[in-house]
This record gives sequence, structure tokens and C-alpha cells, in this order.
Amino acid sequence: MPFTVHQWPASLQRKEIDALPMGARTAVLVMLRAMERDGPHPEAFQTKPLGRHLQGISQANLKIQKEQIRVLYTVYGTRIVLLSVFKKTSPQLEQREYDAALNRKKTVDSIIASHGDVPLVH
Amino acid sequence: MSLSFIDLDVAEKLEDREFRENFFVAESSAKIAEQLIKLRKRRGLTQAQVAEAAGTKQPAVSRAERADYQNWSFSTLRSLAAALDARLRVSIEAAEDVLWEYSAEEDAAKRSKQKPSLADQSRDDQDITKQDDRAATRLGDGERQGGPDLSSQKTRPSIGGGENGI
Repeated sequence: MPFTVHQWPASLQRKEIDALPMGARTAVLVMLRAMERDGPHPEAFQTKPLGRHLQGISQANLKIQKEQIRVLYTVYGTRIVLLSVFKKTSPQLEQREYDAALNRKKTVDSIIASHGDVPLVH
Repeated sequence: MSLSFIDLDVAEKLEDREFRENFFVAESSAKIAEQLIKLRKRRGLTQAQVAEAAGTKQPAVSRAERADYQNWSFSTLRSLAAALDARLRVSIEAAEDVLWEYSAEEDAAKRSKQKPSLADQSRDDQDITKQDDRAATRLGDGERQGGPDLSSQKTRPSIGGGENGI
């Protein structure tokens, strides 16, 4: 696959994706597989880079069974790193998740800076 | 500190009926949207032009091109296909066949990731040649033994257990 999909923190898939209702969880997996194949902005999915204040974090929006699912991620070359996956229930919650994603991105940036590349565990 | 991969393999997860029902819906919706976008672009049409040809409105085409849109009707798909001068083909596949397909695909991907580098391969080839030469010396002309290793051939998984499957 031309792209690889990673997570930060390591518990993100278990705590955030697997915790979603089944319809949303499978939709997220289908989207991530499309990203792995087609890159970080697959055409059929609603994705957008967030503002400069969010330092290049991108957001994917999914609406599954009337629920708004948000996926926040950042891209390093061919590596897509998920930072947050959540069900948007209020603008306040969304803002909290943006703040959390920004902190997580800073950690990922510092890890990369100290290694010179994205260090991976399998 | 290092980054871990997201587990995107689904073959095992598809054994769970609730998961696969939802996954099939999400997967087919995404595929329909991808195909509609691809063909519309190939035809050089805008969403509004497709909508006009299909006798609908542009927002309806925009919705149809969203991977998360899941309220399909066959007649809408038929008119969109006609507007794009395309054939609509519906395929209903048994879950165990889909599971088999994913399982084989994921196994192949794992094998290709484990493939040795060219340098390793070349070294291995040299080692094999040396071993073969030694074997040929031992066995004499044309007495090499062996054949294809069938032990790695997989059997189709069954879903739901029992004789009836699902």
C-alpha cells in the first residue's frame, strides 16, 4: 500500500475507534482503508485541512445514522497519523478534541524530530 | 517512543455478524460514491449536468457522491447510471466468499511485507544454488526429490459454524 496509517497515542484505536457505535466504527475503518490506498484525502470522503492555528491537522467528517463522527489526523509524507476520533455532540466537545489533537501532534512532531523519521512499532 | 500502526485488517473481524453487516454497508456506500465520482470526471461532467440528465437536483448528486451516504434506492442508482451512460451491475455475494477474499488479500499483503530485500534474495539464491549443487552431487543426475509444498494451501473459512454455515 502506498500510504500507512498510524495512531498516537497507541491506545487510540482501542479507546476511540472501537468505542464508537458499530455503524460508525466500520465506516471509519472503510475510510482508513481508502486513505491507505488513495492517500490522506480520498475523494468520496469529506476531508479538509483545518486552519493554520491547528498546525496542518486535517479533519474527516462522517455522518452515520445521524451521528457526526470526526477524525483528526496529520500527514508526514506517506504516513498518516490519527490523533483523535470522536462523536461530535457539541461545539465545546469538538474544541476540546482540537486542543487534545494539537497537543498530541506536538508530541508526534517531537518524536519525529528526535528520530529523523516516523519511528514505528509493529 | 514510537508510533504503532492502526490495524486495518478486517478478515478476522468479519467473522462477527454485526460487524460484517455494518462493514458491508459502509464498504458498498464508499464504492458507489467512488465509482460515481470517477465516471462523472471521466465524462467531464459537473454534478449539475449529471443531475439534469438524471432528472434530479445537484444536491442529490452531491449526496450520492458521499461515501457516508447510505440511503440508496435502486431507481436513483439506475437513473444516475443512465445519466452517466453506464451499466448498473448489482452483485450479491455470500459472506463466507467475501471473508475468503479478504483473508487471501491480507495474507498476500503480509507475505509481501515479509519479502526479503534484493540483497538478501541474491544471497539466498546463491546459498540455494550451493545446496542444490551439493544435493546433485549426492543424488546423481536427475535424482532430485521434492515437489510443490501444499502444506501452506488454505481452506475456505466457514462462518457461523455447523453444517449450515450462515
